[in-house]
Amino acid sequence: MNAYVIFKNKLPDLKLIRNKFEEILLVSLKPTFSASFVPSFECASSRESLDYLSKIPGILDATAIIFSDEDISKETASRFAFKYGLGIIAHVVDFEINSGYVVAIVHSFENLRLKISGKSRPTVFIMTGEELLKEGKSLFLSKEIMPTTIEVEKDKSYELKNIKPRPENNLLNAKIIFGVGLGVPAMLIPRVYELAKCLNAPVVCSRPVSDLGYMDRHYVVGDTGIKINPALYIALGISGATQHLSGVRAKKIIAVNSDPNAPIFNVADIKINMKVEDIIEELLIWAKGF
Amino acid sequence: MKIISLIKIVPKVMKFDRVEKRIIRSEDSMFNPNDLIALGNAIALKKEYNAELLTVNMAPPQYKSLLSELFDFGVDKVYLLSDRAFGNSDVFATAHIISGFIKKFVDDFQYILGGLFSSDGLTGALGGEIAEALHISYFSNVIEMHKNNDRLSIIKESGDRILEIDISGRAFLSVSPMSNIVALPSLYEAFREKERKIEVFTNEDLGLDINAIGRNGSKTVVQDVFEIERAVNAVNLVSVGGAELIKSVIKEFV
Repeated sequence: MNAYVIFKNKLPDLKLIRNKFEEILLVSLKPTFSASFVPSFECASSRESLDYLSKIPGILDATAIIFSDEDISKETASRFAFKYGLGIIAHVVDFEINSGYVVAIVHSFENLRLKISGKSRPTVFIMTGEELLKEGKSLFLSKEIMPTTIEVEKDKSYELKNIKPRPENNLLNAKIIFGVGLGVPAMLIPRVYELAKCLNAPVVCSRPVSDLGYMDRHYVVGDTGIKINPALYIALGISGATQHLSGVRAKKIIAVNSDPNAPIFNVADIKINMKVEDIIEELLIWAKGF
Repeated sequence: MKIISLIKIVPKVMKFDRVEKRIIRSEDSMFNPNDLIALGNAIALKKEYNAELLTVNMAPPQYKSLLSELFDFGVDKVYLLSDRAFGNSDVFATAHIISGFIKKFVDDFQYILGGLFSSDGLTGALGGEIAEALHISYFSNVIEMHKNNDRLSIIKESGDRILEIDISGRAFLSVSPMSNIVALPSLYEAFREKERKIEVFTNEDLGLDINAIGRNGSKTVVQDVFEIERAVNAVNLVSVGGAELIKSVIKEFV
């Protein structure tokens, strides 16, 4: 049982992988990391990284090819899988080995997990979990191996014109986040902002709230927006559509909704079946005392 | 020039049936929200290039009425790939079907756009597989795109960086949710005189090997579905004293 792990700047959780596979070979998409295989230059298009991977000896004899959850890595994973007719499984959070077969544990939605296996060998996996790497760090797991440099063919169909740092997003570090759904009357949204400000908490929203123009779409959480990971998520008037909940990874969820059948109550830890307008003023008076 | 926008229909709500151990998808359906963002970008590109905009969708025939709404967004042709043989296709088999259709019927396209992932699948691998099948460029996480002489200039997210790239040749572009353009129906398009026929293609039209599509052609198997434990201290539905309860929980976190 052996695995090739493909990455650029972030590695999947090697502790999980190490316990499941006897041999692991690291394949970097940049020449600056000391992995088992490195490219002759940094791969910036999936055609280049596909050409690179196709030249790596033994890769198609592996049990598993595990790609990191990064854009170029995922782009390459899907091309590679189709080129060689391999099964591809994404959102992998862990593996099980059953009688020599690899079974992926996959995050589905809400608190559901799937067990999925590939019919092909190798199977391609895209694994969540990230360890951000510092350039130059040694990535060898157990023994020192000189990296093998693979000559890569330049993709002439694109030209990289500029690289800029991404603007910082302060939502990613917030401990408490308030979410606004259509169950919050528009006139009360400023009150939610006031309450959140007292607690030093940001405010996000569901897609329909943004579509109606009540909040900027950069604060939409879910499939069409950002992912949040606070300790406490207070969902006000949010129905709990799958498309919103896919972006929420909170340790604890408080849901306030006047509809007792709202799907948000299936995932909430504290379930308050009340109108938002019946609690917001009391909370605001209390929070102003902070 | 032809621009193709891939549109998936997804359930509005998905629930887990603990007794049957299966995921239940609501009959109430909608366009995949990410695909509407891709469509918004495709509509903008159509205007820049004065191109023809086509949508391709794989779904059962009962979704024809929902798909007909796409004409109001400014779509020129709506193609529906519908056949029992397509059912239970995983991403590999789906890529085989859609790329097979494109090769046979719209091989003179320039760009294909799609959402980064679908609400009910989340693999996000379809774009790359289709790009490989068609031997074209593939860029994901695209947030902007504009005509630039004979090239297409794109801006894409890449980890903690934003890249500006010029592309020549044909390409598949997976559009990021952070793109600011969302497709909306317009009164102009709704009342504009144009043919609004949804063209349906079955596997008889596509002529694909039955062993390469559907369950037979899929390369993955779902073996089990299960729930993980959620946080402890969960309480039942309460209808009085909500504010007091919230205060007590917030105190744990500040």
